[in-house]
Amino acid sequence: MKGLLIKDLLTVRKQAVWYAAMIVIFCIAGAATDSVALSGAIGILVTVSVPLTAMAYDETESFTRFAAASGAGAKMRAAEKYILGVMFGAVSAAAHLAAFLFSAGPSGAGGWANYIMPVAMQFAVLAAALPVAFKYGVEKGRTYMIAIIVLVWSAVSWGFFGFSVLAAAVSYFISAHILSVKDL
Amino acid sequence: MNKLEIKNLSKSYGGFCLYKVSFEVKAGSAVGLIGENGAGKSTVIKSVLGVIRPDGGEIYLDGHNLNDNPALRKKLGYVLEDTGLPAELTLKEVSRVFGGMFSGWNEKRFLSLAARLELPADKRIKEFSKGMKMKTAISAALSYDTEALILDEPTGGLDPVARDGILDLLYDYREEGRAVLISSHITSDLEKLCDYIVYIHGGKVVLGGEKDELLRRFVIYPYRAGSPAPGGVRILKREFGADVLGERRLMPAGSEFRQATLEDIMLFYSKGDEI
Repeated sequence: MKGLLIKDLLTVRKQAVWYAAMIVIFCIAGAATDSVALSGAIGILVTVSVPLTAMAYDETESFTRFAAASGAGAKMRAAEKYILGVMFGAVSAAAHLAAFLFSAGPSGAGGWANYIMPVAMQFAVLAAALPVAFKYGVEKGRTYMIAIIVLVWSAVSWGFFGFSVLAAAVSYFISAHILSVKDL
Repeated sequence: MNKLEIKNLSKSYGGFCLYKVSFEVKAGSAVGLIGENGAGKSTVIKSVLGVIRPDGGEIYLDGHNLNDNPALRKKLGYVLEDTGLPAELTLKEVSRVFGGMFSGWNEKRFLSLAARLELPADKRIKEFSKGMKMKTAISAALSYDTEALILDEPTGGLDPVARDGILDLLYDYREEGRAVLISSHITSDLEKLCDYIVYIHGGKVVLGGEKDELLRRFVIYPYRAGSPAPGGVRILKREFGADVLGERRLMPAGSEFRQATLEDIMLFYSKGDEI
């Protein structure tokens, strides 16, 4: 595990510098404009991109096979990528917190939800992206991930629409029943 | 004593089938796997290393089944055909990574082997030639506690001098009572290093045994049309005429022939026809 993590950290160090610069810029911009959505968005990007970038290197270098041959089990190899994502997610969550506190903070509209939602979202996207990338590889995985997001979003939207139509119908029958038994 | 034992190893995928491959690698010996491209050599090696899951069969290291004790694979040193080295790192950084991956990692030995093989310490792996990458992978495989070394085409892309240096290192490793399983198309390397040869054709072991015995057993002579092929096992048609791979013990006294090499044996068994 330690060796795999060192490998990924050394491999993505250049990208990590860029991501760190982006986090700083987005957090300053977010705090200055009272729009913490900016720092939240960059958190999501960093949390998912770093492990996916590391996986892309593993695939290109055939390190995936090398690591498997080393006796490192599948659980360990998978866990390492989650830990990498969580490490970078924690850093961006901390930066997002600073931006949040320097802007309107918990006293603003939405309160702590403005902080917690993007942080929850960054780990939710990480949780969705990694299995897809492990299954299909990073390049195909990215495409499938976008397709899944669109499908889930459509399903949720249409599902919610359907639910609201059904709820309105049920609501009508309940109201009619209430009226029919009510002494006016 | 068998250091590594492969029993009835089977795997099928994409129209290819490895069928009940069995052989042993004794302690202090080297076994060479030969066969054409796609014969199944890499499938055997990947199965031993746990990179692919075989459909059937067992692999034993020092008598322990690796299926029941996957952690024992940590005792296998290995060199993969595409090396799998982290391309963005320098040798020192690779050593840091491997220090966290392999028990008993010896950085001093790794860097000294790398220096002996004239590898530049300050360049990244991605700047290395194929041969340099292979030298790095071999240096790494020899720098931690292992009981057996598994190598897939380790001398491909190396010049004869570098190959000789690598074979010396492998020879020393073998002499320490450990085992070497090596697959290579460069049969002359296997003739130098190996004690046993396993020839795989179409996913099956078609020939195997002690290398010296195999080389003693077979001879080559030109076939003359209309005449019988004394001691002939396989016949290989050439552009002009044909050659016969024959058993030395069945050759009539005074007949002319030359000693067969591993390459000859492989060629006759893959391209030739049975007599």
